[in-house]
Amino acid sequence: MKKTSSPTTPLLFFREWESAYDETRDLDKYIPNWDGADADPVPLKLIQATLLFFRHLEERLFPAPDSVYPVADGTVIAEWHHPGGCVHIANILSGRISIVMMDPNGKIILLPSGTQVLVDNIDPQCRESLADGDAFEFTLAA
Amino acid sequence: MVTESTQPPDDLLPVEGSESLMRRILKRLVEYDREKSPPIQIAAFLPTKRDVDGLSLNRRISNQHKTFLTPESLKNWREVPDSIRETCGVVAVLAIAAREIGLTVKTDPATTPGHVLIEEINWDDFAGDRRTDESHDKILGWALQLTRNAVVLIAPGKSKMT
Repeated sequence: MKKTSSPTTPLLFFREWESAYDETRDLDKYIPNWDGADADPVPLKLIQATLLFFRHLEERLFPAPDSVYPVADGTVIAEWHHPGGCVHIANILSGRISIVMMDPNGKIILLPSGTQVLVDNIDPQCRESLADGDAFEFTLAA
Repeated sequence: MVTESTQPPDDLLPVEGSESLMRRILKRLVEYDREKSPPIQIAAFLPTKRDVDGLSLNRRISNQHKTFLTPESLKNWREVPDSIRETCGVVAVLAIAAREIGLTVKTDPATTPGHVLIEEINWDDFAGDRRTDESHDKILGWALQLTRNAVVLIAPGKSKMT
């Protein structure tokens, strides 16, 4: 999945999330040894956990990830490349979500696990850019 | 001027900071978008199960301007499975970029010329026997920083996802 722009409308916001859900469901297509180096497939339970994690983020109006893909140990990574240069990496493991953030200056910050952490710990400069793009600001029509 | 010689340089030559270190990347994992910073996903610098002793990379050109391995040779290396070779790409990062974030680049003579390891990014600390939450997350961070400094030498080709 590749975003063509930052979300500027609720419709685009939801389309990008739908695309992320589709990409996550497709993780079951990775067969054992999919990387040619003995990689594990992604267990169905972890795919379901990733979908649930994403649902929490979407409900908090967090933007959809730019990409979702498996790791060789059968876990899942989601990447966000926010306007302004901030990057979030979430590694969805069994029972834990590792979250790493890179600020626009390239500094790495290891964040505690959890959904709200992602929403709360976005760099202020990036938050401003996101607000410009309405990802945090728009409200849904009744 | 870069010279192509039949005999690659000594694999044990110390690695200079200005040297490019190359790694194969899988099309199905690494979306490449030059508009993005970084232009590739961190999967490019995460260890596989075979990176037990460290992340495997190959030097491109020695400081005497002799070629260890071209990006094309790395992509088409004979031991690479056909399914990977057809669609993989090659990225590179400067040795100094790795050292600046505290990583060690160690020469490791192997079947491919100019083989090196970044020891800290290894499978056991990421997902194997020695894994802790801290060691795992540190590797995610290092991979992200390397990705930020990487350049794409050969863009991955068309994926043949099964």
